[in-house]
Amino acid sequence: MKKTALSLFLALLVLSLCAVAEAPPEETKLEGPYLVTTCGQSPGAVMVGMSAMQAGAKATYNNALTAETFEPGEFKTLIVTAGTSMKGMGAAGTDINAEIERCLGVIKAAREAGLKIVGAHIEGMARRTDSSDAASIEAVMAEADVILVVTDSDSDGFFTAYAKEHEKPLIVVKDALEIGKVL
Amino acid sequence: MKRKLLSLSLVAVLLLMAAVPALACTPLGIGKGASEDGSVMVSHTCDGWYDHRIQIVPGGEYAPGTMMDVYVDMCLGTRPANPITKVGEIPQAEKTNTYFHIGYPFMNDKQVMMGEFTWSGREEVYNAAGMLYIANLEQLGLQRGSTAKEAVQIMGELAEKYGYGDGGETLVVGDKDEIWVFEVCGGGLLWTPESEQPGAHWAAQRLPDDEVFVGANRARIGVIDFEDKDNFLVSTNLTALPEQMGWWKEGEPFDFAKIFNPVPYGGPFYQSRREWRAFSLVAPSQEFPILDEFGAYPFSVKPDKKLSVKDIMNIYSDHLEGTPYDLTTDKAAGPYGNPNRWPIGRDQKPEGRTGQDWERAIAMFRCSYSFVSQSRSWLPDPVGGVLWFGEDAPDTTVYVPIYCGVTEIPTPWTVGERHKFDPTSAWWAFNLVNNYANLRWDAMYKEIREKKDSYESVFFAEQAATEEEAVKLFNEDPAKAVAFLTEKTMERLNTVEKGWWEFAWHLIGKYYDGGMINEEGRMTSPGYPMKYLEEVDFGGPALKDLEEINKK
Repeated sequence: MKKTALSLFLALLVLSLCAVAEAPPEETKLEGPYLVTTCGQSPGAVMVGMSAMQAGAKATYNNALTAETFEPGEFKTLIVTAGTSMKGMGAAGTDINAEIERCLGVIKAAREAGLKIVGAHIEGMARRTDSSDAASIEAVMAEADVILVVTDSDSDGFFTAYAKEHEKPLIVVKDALEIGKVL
Repeated sequence: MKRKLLSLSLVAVLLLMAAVPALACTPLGIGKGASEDGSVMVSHTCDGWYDHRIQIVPGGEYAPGTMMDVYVDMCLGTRPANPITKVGEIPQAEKTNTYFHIGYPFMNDKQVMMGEFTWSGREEVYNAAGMLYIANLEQLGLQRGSTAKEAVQIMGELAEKYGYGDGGETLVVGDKDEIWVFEVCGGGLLWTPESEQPGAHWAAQRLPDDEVFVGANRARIGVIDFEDKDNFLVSTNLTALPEQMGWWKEGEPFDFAKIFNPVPYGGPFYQSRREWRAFSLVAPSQEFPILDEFGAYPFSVKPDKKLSVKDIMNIYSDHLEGTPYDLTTDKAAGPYGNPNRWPIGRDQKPEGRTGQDWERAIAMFRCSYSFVSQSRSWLPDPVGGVLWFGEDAPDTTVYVPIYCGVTEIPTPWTVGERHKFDPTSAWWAFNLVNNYANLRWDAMYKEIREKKDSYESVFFAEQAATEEEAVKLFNEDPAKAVAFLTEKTMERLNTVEKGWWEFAWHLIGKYYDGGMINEEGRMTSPGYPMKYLEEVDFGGPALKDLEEINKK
């Protein structure tokens, strides 16, 4: 009997510890619906939107969003993906400076409307290759309440160090498909 | 909100246009019951800078475990700025067919033919992790497929397995019996090779034997009947992503084109005008309405009369003549009725018209090559499969019949740099003639058409006798037929190549400085049409000055 009670106690202890370990800290809890845009016209925003939708979360992606067209509606969180595509910016008739200006405007409007701001980098090291990528990351992460990255994007520890230095909560997921699990 | 969605869609389309190269082809498919002689016909205009060099890749037998290299993006051969690179390896088939390689591989020795066009589609389905591009699928389909349906199934399976990394594409795949239209796009932005999900979305629809298909840079397969296995083939989990993304709901008709290509690229009539024109030429009695990019024409139509190879070649020379959109008579045609319109960047267009473009005819000066093929069940394969091939623009090319059994192509048709003039390449003779005609289109085009016809009419006239002889030889020994057809094809290609260079020099020597050298060796001045001189106010400034002087 004693043995059974002990086993039960231990099992409950393990379960409760697991529950504590799995519960995300309050500061990294994200709440939808989500509004997603890109700072650099890469496919990142669409990927976040798709991952969210496939996980059953409400998300809208708009790579042309501006402070003027921003409508808070029911959105609770703005996610801005960093990392640039020269082809994408060329096709959209924009450049990195205009992209940063657009996104900072959207972030300001979203913050004023009470949305949480997530700075994301979800396309791996391929979107951390040049000065445009760096400028996009710097601009977005500086404004972020929470940073969300995939493992590959942080393979050199850059985002871990950045989050620590700037005291920002960091969420790391395996890949783009996993993003939906934290939304 | 609708406007926002439209803007988003346009940005998505522009993104894909930037990522995807093949932007303006017009293939047709003609079922065996819609052709004059019972041929299954496939055709293609490869409009843009794509590899024009024909290479015959012999079939072979391979030991189990042999791997083959995969290169991307093969259609861009001849572009120094876009080197073709090895992206991976896949298991080689134990036995492969001989196939004819070019920008978009087009024929194999089993009479399977392929025409192609790009439609790009939703950015959500694009995936850069996909190994295979459309030219890879064509290569694999031709190497491994002995019928159109088999090639479609092979291409679909491989695209699912290794991932499809290109933009949305359509292939018109024909064999000696039937035609399948195959449309494919990526597995989705989130697809990875490790995901164990299909790496492509695709569908194929069988063309009714007595009908004609045309495609022009937008997806063409409409509502899929999933129960009709005789006429539709589809990829694994085709409906899953569209359902997850809210593009389609269970119970609704599954319209492939509207789901995967909701906003076709280009101006509002960039695609639909060519579909309308081709259908109107083959079935004028049906009086097809004018539709924009959101209006769909039927998948295929029954022609008013059965079609010949020559009919398709004529469609490929069309500049919208006799329609309200006639490129040879509008103001932009200039004094000499020139149908060619150079591309315009978005920032070069007039205010309020940045979404518009020149009218788009089927004939296109920037075409790399075009062809009309015949596959015929009543002839042995080496004779039955023939592809009438022309380098450069279809309206000023010469179509030379290349039989699928040939084992060699003359060097000038297999080489050629494109970033600089290359006199060793047949392509440049045709490109030179086409470009030079812009000097005085009305006069030179007439002459070019006569010269073109002087070759093609002979090839048509000789076709029956050539094939009769080839079949006779085939019955003695297939190798004799192959040797005969190879020699005949080589001879014709050499004759046309040499003849076209001579013709180019002839045009250069005849038309220059606004004049034309006549038969006596005198320079004549064809001048300008009277209507044009009146429109441009010929002599106007001088008359005004004279008026001012005389007042004093």
